[in-house]
Amino acid sequence: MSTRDLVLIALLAAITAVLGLFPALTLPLTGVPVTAQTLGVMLAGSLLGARRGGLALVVFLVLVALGLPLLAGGRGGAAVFAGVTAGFLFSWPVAAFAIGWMTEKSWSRYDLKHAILINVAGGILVVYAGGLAWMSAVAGIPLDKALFGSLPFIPGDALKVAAASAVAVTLKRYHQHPLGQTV
Amino acid sequence: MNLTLYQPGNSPLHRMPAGAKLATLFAIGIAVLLTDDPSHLAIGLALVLTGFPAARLPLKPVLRQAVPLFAVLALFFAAHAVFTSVETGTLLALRFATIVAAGLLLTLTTTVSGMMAVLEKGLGPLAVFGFNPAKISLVFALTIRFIPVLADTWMSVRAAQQARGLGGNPLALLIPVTIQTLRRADRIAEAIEARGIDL
Repeated sequence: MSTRDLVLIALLAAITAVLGLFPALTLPLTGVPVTAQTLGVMLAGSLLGARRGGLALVVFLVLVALGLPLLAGGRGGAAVFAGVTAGFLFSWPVAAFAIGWMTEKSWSRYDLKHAILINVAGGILVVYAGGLAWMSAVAGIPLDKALFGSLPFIPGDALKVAAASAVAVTLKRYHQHPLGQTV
Repeated sequence: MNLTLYQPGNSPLHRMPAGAKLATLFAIGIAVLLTDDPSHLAIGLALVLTGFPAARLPLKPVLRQAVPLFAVLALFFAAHAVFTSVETGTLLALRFATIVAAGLLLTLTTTVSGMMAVLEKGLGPLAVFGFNPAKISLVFALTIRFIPVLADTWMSVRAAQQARGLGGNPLALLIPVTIQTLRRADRIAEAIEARGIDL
């Protein structure tokens, strides 16, 4: 990996951390702020591709585990990886990798439609598959009940998909997208 | 911006080496899986909880971390009480509470640099497989350094867009922040290479 690759990994890990410090989006009508860290997952995959995107999230999670309060609400430390909802965290690098892989594969045709489909598949399906599987396997909550409990978060996730997709496609259009630059 | 959860102190738990604390946490994690007896788990949890007064931790930062974690656990216990049984709920909740409390103790009494040293030691053997521990350390150091820098970028772009009346538009914030960040990557990579740091 080049020095530039390492720097890009560090920067996207840092963006994910900053997204936990500030709410980027507010749910329309309800005014509920959406803590936007899965937006970092989608951006890392959509902008850096599979390997670098996945690694950016690995770096982010390791820093959380080492004791930096980088998760939304200033949480962090080893304890969050032992909790009932830890499966969502573990799914982040996988989701970023999956988004990155699909983005690379479809690069020549990559437009808003592709971006939205890819971010829904990686940023929602993969994340919920990991999070809900953990809840039911490790914590013994029946799968359908866990799914029902996470429905309120879907509108926020849809907004994040729209935002990440729009950023990635805009950057491609103006030749600022890292996957479109040959360095 | 406070980028660590560490609470300074001089208790035996603070002085215990980070590696030993991490090993203890793993041992506790395995131990809670080996027993199905709630009374054993309750004793284990009580033992872990004595660590908090022993470490003389200030109450406020402890509660700030503990309340959300245990709120989720309470919800989860309620879900079990409704859908499966109170017994399963109690068993699982005790298991999670023990390991979560132990993890919290580790984080609150250990510096990030202490944890980082353990990580680097652990990564050393990976060099055999072609991983470069120096590269990995650089990425972690860069990330920690970039967080306040990007937070600054974020706030200045937000202020600029609010001045233009674009405060409610998330894309007017996200796109400039992302572009600035990506452009910064090129300059930083050049600067690292210009200083002859050979990776």
